[in-house]
Amino acid sequence: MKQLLLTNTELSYLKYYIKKEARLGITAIIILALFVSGLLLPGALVKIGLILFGGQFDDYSGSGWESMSRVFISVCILAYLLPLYLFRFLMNRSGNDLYLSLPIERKRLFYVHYIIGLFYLITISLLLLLGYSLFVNTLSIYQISSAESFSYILLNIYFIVLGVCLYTFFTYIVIRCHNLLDAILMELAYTLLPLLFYYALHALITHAAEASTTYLFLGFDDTSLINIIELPTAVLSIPIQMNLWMIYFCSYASKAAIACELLLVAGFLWIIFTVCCFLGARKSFVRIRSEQSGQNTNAFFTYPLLIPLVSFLLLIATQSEHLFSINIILILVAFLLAHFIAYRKISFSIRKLLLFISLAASSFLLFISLTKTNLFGAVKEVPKLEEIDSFTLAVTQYYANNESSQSTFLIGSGRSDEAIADILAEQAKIMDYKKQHSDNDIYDQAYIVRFQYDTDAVEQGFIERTYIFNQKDKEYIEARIAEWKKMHIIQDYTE
Amino acid sequence: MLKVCDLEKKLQNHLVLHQLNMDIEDRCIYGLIGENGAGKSTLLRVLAGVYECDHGCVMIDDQDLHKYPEKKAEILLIQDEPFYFHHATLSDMKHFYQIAHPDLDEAYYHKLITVFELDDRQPLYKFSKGMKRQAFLILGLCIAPRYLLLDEAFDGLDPHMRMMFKKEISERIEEKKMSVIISSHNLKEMEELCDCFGILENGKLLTSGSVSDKLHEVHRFQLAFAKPMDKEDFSELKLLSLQITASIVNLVAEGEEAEIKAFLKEKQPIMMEMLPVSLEEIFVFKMLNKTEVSQ
Repeated sequence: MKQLLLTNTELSYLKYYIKKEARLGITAIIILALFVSGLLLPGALVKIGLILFGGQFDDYSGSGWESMSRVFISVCILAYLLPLYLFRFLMNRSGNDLYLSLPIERKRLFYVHYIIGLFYLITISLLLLLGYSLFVNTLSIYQISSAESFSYILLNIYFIVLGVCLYTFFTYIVIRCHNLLDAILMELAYTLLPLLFYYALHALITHAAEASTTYLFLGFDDTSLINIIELPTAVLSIPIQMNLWMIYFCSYASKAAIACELLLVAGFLWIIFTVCCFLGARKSFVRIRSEQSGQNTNAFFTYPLLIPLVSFLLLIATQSEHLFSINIILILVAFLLAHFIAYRKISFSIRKLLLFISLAASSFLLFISLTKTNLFGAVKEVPKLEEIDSFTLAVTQYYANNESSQSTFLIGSGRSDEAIADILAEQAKIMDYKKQHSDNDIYDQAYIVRFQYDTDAVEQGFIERTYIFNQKDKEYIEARIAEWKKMHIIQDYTE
Repeated sequence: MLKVCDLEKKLQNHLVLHQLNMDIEDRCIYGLIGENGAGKSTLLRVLAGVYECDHGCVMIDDQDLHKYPEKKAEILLIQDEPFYFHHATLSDMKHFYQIAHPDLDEAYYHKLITVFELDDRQPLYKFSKGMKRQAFLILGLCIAPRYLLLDEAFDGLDPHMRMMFKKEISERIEEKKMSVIISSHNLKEMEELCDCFGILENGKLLTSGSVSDKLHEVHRFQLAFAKPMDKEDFSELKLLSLQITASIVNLVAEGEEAEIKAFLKEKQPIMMEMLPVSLEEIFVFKMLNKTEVSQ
């Protein structure tokens, strides 16, 4: 019990610090109040931020609730800035001399500074929330019902809890950094890393799907892979979680990509992670070697982890069928620049080059394995025989020099297993041809071949695959049509 | 008593302090002397509990400072570039120091800021370098901890201020029974102010002891002989310096004054004169670490 109580010296220190920073705290409240009320930063900029952090443009159009998000943005800003401000003395040698020579045990000195941050985070957030709630209710600006208003307050209290998680995580990061620039960069990097993770995987899947199919997303069930990466992104990022909660709150789940149950699980995981961060931050603070203040930061999870990780994400985001491209050169330059920032010196070693080559090779192998396996089976351009009940094959012909002149003629339909197998084989041939002669110039199209399969296996009841053939492919497709007629795979057809 | 036992400290894989042992008695002014990079500031930081020891310990009354952080209340480190909060005034810093040192002497504080003509409501960033030094020296003297550590604290002060502070320190030591450990390059000043001293070289204590004892142990002689002399003639002495110009000899030797005089008289000099030796000269001779001989 004695361990938990602050001594007189620690208590005096706590009171002194809170009193000392009161003026700054009031300034922060005024600035954030101006921001929350919408007077400080235009809504358009806030919207861009919110869209980047997990939202869609439609989520924020036509309603004033984007300004409600300003309270949780303020909580995130406080969680970002407070550790930098409260623990900046660790990055200054003379600051170390003053603080670490205080007759306070290091562990307890950490508690005191951590508590001061918590005090300011919670107090300022509650004041902003209270001010905003009064503002909304008094002026009835956004016509929120009292029930909604209550839910909104509860939601923001939960946001303050998440803000404490974010504050603790950033505290750990700041304590592990040896200088202020590194601390700022690391906080920024860990804020943006989930976004980069999402956009890199999204780009990778999109590019791999393009390379796996004959036409963009053809046969790619984008709810299966792209949506699956939204969950880890939301787990990784508290601002994204908060944003998704706001979308959920304001649109009643209609627009939320992730169910609120999953967001609660993500929040719970963060609370557990926060306990680990707190213990890690305390341990790091106790073990701090003040002679390292102002030196380069070398903790594993800082530059040594982030530089290869960010480089790898950038490499997979820009990956294509070609291993070498201008993107790789640009990422290599960024990789070396990041090393220069990390170690404050220009150095080029074989080890670094080998690391980058292995990252590039890994990203290329990942891309190739995704395309070769059709995104681990997620791309099903040619459906499986057992999924199909019947098919319809239609060809539309366009007449040269007259875009509006076209005629669709039914080639045929079939239902027997033999006919279905034959038509699937024909689709595969068409697909192979398109892969080798990829060209979809819509102003030069001669034929459109449409395979439609009726099935119970998918939600919409049918699978449709459409292939465009341009004038240069005219001979090939006309030959195929003639072949189909000869093969009698089509039981009935009209011309 | 402040005791340093087998202290080792590395900074970025460089051994700055190596098997350092020293005792600092209560109520003394201890001068820490050494070349740049000898480890003086590092030692003061270890003594203040800012740096952890890699090996060995710092004991105050047989209690390890790093195991009993409350003992840090008995120590105050005033750095060459003292840290102060953004926009803080001297009065603000006094309040901060009062958290750890509640016995800060308010009356003495007001007396000193009047004497040294400092405005304690003015932000410290507006103070000159010398004024900042004065401000933090005043805080150190008002707190009067058991051990006041001053890292090149007089650098940047004008001669008048130096004299005034030296007087205040001497008086305060008498009054509050405190000890002051000063690192400085100004050896003449250290000789005037300090009771004890220690010379640091490459992280080791080269020599230490009472200033007056050491000054009595080292003697300088100027001699003239009827015939040219050789360095072998003085090989029995513990020489710190020897300069021979034909029959004129200048030497600095360590040992009993009477014994050295008797030895030199046996060589039958035409003239023999004993000259005073300063702490600075002892430092220089010790740092050279070899007998300086020129013929």
